[in-house]
Amino acid sequence: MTNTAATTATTAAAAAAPTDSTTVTTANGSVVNATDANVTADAVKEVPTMKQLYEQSTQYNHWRYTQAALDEMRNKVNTEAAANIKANINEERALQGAQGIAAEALPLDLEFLRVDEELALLGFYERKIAPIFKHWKLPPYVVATAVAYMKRFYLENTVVDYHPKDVMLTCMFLARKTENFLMTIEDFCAVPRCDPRAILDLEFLICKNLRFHFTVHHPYRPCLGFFFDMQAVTDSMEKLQRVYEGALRIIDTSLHTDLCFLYQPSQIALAAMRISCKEESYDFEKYAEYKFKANEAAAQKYNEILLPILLAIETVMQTDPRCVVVTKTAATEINRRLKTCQDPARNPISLLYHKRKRQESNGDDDDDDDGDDDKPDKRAKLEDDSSPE
Amino acid sequence: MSLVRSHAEQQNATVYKDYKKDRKVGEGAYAVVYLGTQLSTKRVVAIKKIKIGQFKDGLDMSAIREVKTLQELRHPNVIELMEVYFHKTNLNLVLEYLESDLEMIIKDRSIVFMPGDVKHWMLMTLRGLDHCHRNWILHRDMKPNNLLLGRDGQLKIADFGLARDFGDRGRQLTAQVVTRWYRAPELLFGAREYGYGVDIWAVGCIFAELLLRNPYLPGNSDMDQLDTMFRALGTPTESEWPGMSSLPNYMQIKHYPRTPLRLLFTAAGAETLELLESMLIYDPNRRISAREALLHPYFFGKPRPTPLENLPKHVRETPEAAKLKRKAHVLGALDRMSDDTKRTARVLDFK
Repeated sequence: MTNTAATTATTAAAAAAPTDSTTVTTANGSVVNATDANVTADAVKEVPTMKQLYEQSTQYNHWRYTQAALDEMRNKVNTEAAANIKANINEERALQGAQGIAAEALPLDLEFLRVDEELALLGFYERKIAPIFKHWKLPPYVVATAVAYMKRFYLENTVVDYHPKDVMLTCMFLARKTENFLMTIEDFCAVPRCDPRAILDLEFLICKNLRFHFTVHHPYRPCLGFFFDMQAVTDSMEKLQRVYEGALRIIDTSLHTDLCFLYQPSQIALAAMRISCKEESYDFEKYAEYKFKANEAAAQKYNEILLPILLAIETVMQTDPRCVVVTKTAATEINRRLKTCQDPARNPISLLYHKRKRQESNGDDDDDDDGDDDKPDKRAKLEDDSSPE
Repeated sequence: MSLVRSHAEQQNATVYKDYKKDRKVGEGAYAVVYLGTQLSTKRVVAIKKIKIGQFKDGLDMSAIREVKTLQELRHPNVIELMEVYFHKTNLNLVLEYLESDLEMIIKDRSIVFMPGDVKHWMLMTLRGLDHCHRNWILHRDMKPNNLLLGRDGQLKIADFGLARDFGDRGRQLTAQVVTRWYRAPELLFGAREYGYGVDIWAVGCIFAELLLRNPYLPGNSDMDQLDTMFRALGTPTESEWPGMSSLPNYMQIKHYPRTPLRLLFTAAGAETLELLESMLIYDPNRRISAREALLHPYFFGKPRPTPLENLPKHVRETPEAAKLKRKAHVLGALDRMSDDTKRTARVLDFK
């Protein structure tokens, strides 16, 4: 500790974690109306009443789903993409036929990827993020943010339309910025060896799909809070330390599941602690008694609300296939199939691509109202320094 | 007809079509601000257009900081980010429109401030800031011209282009933040770990400025800022601010004695000065927090804060502007926006 200002930051972190963790106990805390009247007396009223902070976040308000809703969204996107490509292939065939070109390169009996295959491919690329970020010594929450961006993006998009490798790189580049680890595009592209244009071209689209919500809350911080909190009733700091480290690894794995859409970060953190306690033969109940069962009403609430959530999270961690690493062989096979069903509308050498481009430029009538928009995009000047993998 | 079938694209297009830019009210190196209308509601809005195409690294940090933080903050005393959309290579932020700002009011010599006016502006500033801090967000550019005033008198903190989260152990932050006159001593000494104290110091300077009607610590350079500060508040000692001398850019400055605040702020009451003093404590760990400040006796004693509708409003006084008086509410944005663009040249170290 080199300066006193540091103390403020440190205390703040300690305070932050338990604040977050309390959202577990009062899962449905009433939301206080923060609209201020203009008399001082209201300063008294407003100040002590704490709104549930997490419930004001974009994550809570826009990115919570049920498993059924997630499944439905993914199925819909998957089916639509397949139908769209089939239609486009037919159109391309017709165009080629009209020009007298034999349509041999366009297969009809395509085997489109299933949703679970799409998810497996995503899992493969999601797991490439951590090693690259480790190279830059970035903390785990930056990895988690990039993974969350990918997951959010693919709720309404498919790997058929946007290859996960490009999306992964763009999400990583964006996460570096949103988590305050800005790096130039050249420096960034030097490590995963990629084309800056591929990243920058996707950045706008990904931001739109993220609905411009850049803040993502992860279980890491509440987990630190629980670690501090559990120290109040521990017999063995050494053992508790191991429990905490185990919980962090469980959280790392949980990033690849749908838990971030289903539960609050603090709930996932507590569940991870609970699972890790089992693995380390550490008595979780002692903490639960102290924290959640101080009286009968609290104990009942814990048993009826929180415990089922913790158990549900544990089940996901035990059963979700995405907790298991996707092998390179499996990913290569999915990638190969993905290539066979490429959308001709996205293939710059297809006739359909050019037809759509023409239609698009004819239909472009939405000129801006200020006329200074037409400066050339400097990005186009960037050198392509990518090298083949 | 879009080449790409995408829900997000459609959503973006829908938002884009709902807003009309009426006229340009300010332009800077990287952003243009328009007065606009939300067509579906006829609501007057400000549209900040950021020319992303100019940045070789894609979305720039200032835009990211502003969008990231404002999306999470909803409070009557924090500017509302209504929508965000892309058009061509520009990012557009649709913000609620406010006519003037605290700097304009301070500079308007035709207005006399009553103690209740200052109290209500401070109250609204601290409420907004407390909301930011409660969400672990530092504003890092608190100054009168970033405190906007609506026609109804409501004050809203704006310009989150330097804002970021804080509070985690060991995260290094840049010391190159906050406009110089409002910059806290720990930032001037190069602290890389700091907290809400930097915003509070700035609010203390704003408080003093409201009382004086002049900038309180107007240093000419970063070096001079320390000198100006110590001349006004006395040179801090190691016992007053433990750890000060181990800050990265610490340097010994001439020893000035501390002058009691009441000698400068002759018209201010005891509680006013006590609150001001607790915001301008050198040691950031002892500096008052926004929440504590809101509970300070200053806000509970007399005079009561002036009711919103009676707070002074900015009216342009120059003959040239008087001609445009009918449009005064429209022009209100001009000063702010042109001033806003001045700081686009700031250079930041994001490491």
